Amino acid sequence: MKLYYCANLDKMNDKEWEKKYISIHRFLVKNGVSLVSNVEKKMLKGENEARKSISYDQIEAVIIEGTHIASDTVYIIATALAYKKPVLYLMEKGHQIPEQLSYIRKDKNLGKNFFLKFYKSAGKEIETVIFDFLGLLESGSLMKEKVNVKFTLRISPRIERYLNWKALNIKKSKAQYVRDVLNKTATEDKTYKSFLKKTEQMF
Amino acid sequence: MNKVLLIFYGGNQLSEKKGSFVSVEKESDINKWMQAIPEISLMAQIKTVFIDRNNKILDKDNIKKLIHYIEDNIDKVDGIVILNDTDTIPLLANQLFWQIQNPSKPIVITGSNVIEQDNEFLPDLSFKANLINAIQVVNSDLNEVSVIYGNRVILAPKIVRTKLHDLNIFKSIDKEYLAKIDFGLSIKSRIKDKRKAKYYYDFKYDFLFFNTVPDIKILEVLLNEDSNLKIIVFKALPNQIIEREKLVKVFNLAQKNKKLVIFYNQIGFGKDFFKDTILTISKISPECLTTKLSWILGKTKDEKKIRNLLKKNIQGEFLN
Repeated sequence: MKLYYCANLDKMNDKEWEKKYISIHRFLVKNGVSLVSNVEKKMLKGENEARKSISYDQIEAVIIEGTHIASDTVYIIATALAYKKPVLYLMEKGHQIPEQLSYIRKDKNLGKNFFLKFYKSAGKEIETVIFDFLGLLESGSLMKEKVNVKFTLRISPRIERYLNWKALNIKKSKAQYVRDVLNKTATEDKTYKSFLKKTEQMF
Repeated sequence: MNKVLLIFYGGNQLSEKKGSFVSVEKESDINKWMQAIPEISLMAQIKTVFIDRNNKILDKDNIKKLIHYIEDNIDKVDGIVILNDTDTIPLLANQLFWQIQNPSKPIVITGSNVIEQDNEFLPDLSFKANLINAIQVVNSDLNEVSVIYGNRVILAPKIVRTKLHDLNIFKSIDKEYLAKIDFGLSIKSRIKDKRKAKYYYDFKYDFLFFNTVPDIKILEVLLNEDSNLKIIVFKALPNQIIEREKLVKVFNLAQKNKKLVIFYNQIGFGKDFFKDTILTISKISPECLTTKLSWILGKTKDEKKIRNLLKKNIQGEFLN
């Protein structure tokens, strides 16, 4: 999963905030997220090459630490929402919601993909919020699912023979047939369904 | 929150999916259109103006109307975004670059690139993002006439169309961009003399721009002394430049009919062998040369002044 994570770079001179921004970055990377971030620019003390070659088309969502809103934050939110990408906006508890965000929360269409979440300054609450958001993204309920994950599957000649025969019969590609079978299994899996429901409710 | 004047001059078809469009064809369509793109209201207070072109493209009166709207409103807002058909963006951008010199606020042009293919219209899915980026250019105080499309912000005199349908359909002739866009704008503003903004309303297209040197007999018909035509520009191919006999004939014909002849080549001429006869111009885009010439003809008829102004680098229009 590829995400864009951004924070207020003007606050990076403040040691406390620098530490917080970097810890979110590390948490996302640790959880297997392929990340593009403005924080990296500061972490690497230079231009981040990855940033240059990527656009909103290629990411699945945006995470913003926005307790102190940056000058370009609204621009990032507007672009992400225009691309129909979910936005997780994180704020430390006890801070006021920036005025600029009130319009999003009022607009039904924009609000659909905008998630404003508060966390306690101390402790691991922020990690839980992010983890739940990642779960929600993975569930596919926030956006139209894209078939873009590569997966190598080794099968026996016997299964291959069956796949060839089946694909020809149903006039679908072998990959599409396997996808359909897995989709059907996932839809009918009650345990998995209750797991998804729990994740969504928790968020 | 910044204030932006959004001018509907053309090229405004919004679409979420194939075949379904929301567009502004009259003033009363604006509300519905704005509802389809709530993202821009997050970024600025949007004031809108609709210019009815009466189905005319880049018509002189329409462009004058556009300049009037800009001059009358620019002090009341933080910048202006103009929506126009992508096909005519290079020419419009260059015309505004000459008619509005040293703008005091950003003037950004973008548009929806809807393509007709196999009897159906392909939407421009990047239009929303282009518009958001245009507003961000206004928020960044880039006081230029510029074009935003895809991930590039291009200064008007450098713009050239390269693709019919793509993430980027324009490029900068010298590959220098005012800004590049990824998850933000990296602006590279140019050094300019601090001068007051100037608005020019007159421009004249009393010239012909040939993409090659046509046959002398055809020119004899076209270069009738009594016509309003004042100048002929030839975008010359190298073999035509060295064909001296033909050039002498073209020059004599122009002299006889009191016309000025310009030889144009984007990359430059090896030597100025037409000195004092045929005027040679290079290192400028064809759109920029065309609009510069129209601006000059709006100011003067004097051949000497025309020659001087054409050769002079007035506002960084010549390429390095």
